[in-house]
Amino acid sequence: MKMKTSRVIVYMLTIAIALLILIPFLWMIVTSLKPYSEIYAVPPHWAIYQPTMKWYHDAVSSGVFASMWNSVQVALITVVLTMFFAVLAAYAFSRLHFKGKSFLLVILLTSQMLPQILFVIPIFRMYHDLHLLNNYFFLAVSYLVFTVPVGTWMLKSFFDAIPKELEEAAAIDGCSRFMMLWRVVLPLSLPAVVSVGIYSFLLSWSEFLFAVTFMVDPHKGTLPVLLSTFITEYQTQWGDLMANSFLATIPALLIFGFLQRYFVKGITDGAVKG
Amino acid sequence: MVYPLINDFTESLYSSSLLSQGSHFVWFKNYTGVFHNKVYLTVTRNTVVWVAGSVIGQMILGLCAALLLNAIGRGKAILTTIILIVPWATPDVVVASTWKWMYNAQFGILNQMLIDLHLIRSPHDWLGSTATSLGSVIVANIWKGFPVTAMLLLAGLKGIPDSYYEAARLDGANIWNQFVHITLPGLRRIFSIAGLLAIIWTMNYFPLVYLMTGGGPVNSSDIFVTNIYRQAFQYYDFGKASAIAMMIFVATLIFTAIYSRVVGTGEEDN
Repeated sequence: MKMKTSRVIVYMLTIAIALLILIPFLWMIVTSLKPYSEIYAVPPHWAIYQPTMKWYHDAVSSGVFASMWNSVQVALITVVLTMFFAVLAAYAFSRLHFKGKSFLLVILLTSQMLPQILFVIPIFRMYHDLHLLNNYFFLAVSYLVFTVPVGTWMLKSFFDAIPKELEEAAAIDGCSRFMMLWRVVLPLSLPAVVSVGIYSFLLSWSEFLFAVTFMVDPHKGTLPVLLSTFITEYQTQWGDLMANSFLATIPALLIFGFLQRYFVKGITDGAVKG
Repeated sequence: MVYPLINDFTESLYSSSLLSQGSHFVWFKNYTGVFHNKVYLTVTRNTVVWVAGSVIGQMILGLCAALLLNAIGRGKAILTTIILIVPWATPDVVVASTWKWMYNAQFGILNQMLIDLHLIRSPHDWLGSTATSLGSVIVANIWKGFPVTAMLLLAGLKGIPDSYYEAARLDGANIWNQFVHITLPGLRRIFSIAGLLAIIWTMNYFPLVYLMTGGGPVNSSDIFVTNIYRQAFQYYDFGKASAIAMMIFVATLIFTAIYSRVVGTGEEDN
């Protein structure tokens, strides 16, 4: 009996917290389905008396999917590039010994301490001079500064925990370094690799400052850029904003939701071992 | 192999920002200008409050979430998704605008809910009043950021052997005692890592404050990064902006060094 009551309490608390956490999200959805008059009702209320798809219709016709596609492209490039660099770098840090290794590791960590803003101006100048603005590939490249260090750190902790004997055995069978990474270490690190992928995807998907600065062409904006256009100096179009926000959040939630098993495992294993 | 490339990135950006400080003998003027300007007292205080409030809030909420999620069996996936993933996966811009809408003085649902709960009597302009602007953004930041801490703590919880708890139960310890004497010490290492990460990330976290209040009203929610942004993009004073950013960076480095000494990054045994 005692066990049961404590279980119930735990469940009730968890559900309570879940509901509290959901409030902003629910409010966003509710607002996006309300007609103008109800959005600006005083006092505000949760109930939707006359639900409408107007905001979603407007969103689609004004090109939310185009922006979404832009975001997808940038995010995919970010993920692929990050994985490439982070996996190689992490393997190198984990398995090789070379001069300046600890120094580089420190640089990797301290780069995380720099505010994003510090990078905007120099990179903008560089891209402007090289005519690399409005370029999805190079926007993604600019994200690497943030995703690769974290990704390398996560993967390195994971790689460190994989026994070197496995690779030594493979070496005896005539495996090259690269094959050791590809055939032995990587398959075992799938959770961590997926985590790095998800992390980079999310960073790219929601990143605002670089996107709004480097994508000068309005048709090439990513979702965060599109969302910022609904907030002008004089007023904010809340209905549009909430509908577009919901559409902007769904892909990230879906991806995360499906892959969360790997992600949580990847982070937790990396943390406990690291 | 690959690290020169990563290195390149960070290196080139260091030197570029130094360049944008302008000619050398202006350099120190930017730095001393900061020390003489009273606004920076407010900005410093705000930043400290911002970081302390956010991190402590995230730790507490993260700990509660981790403890609860660790204890439930069925429905774990759904609840975990809702509690941890929704706040984290939501893009910064969406978080900022949704919370801003909730905080809205006339049409925001927060005021209404608080009135219904008899916690306040009349609608309050949360983001528009100097007393509550920073605190309001902090709450939104806690909402957005606690999943990271929660996940790290969840990992830490799994690392505490069940045998400890069983032994304690046999000795007659109640739940509270078990928590204080087993759980908390066991989490000490993760706490310090999570804390350091949270502090560094929060310190430089720009989108939320900028989009919700822009640093106002009257600098009441201006933290260093929003101030730097304004110096650079509104006043076009890149030199000053870079100077402040450099100072923050150095301060962060010093802080990390002190933090590692005092709290320990948990490299020692538990």
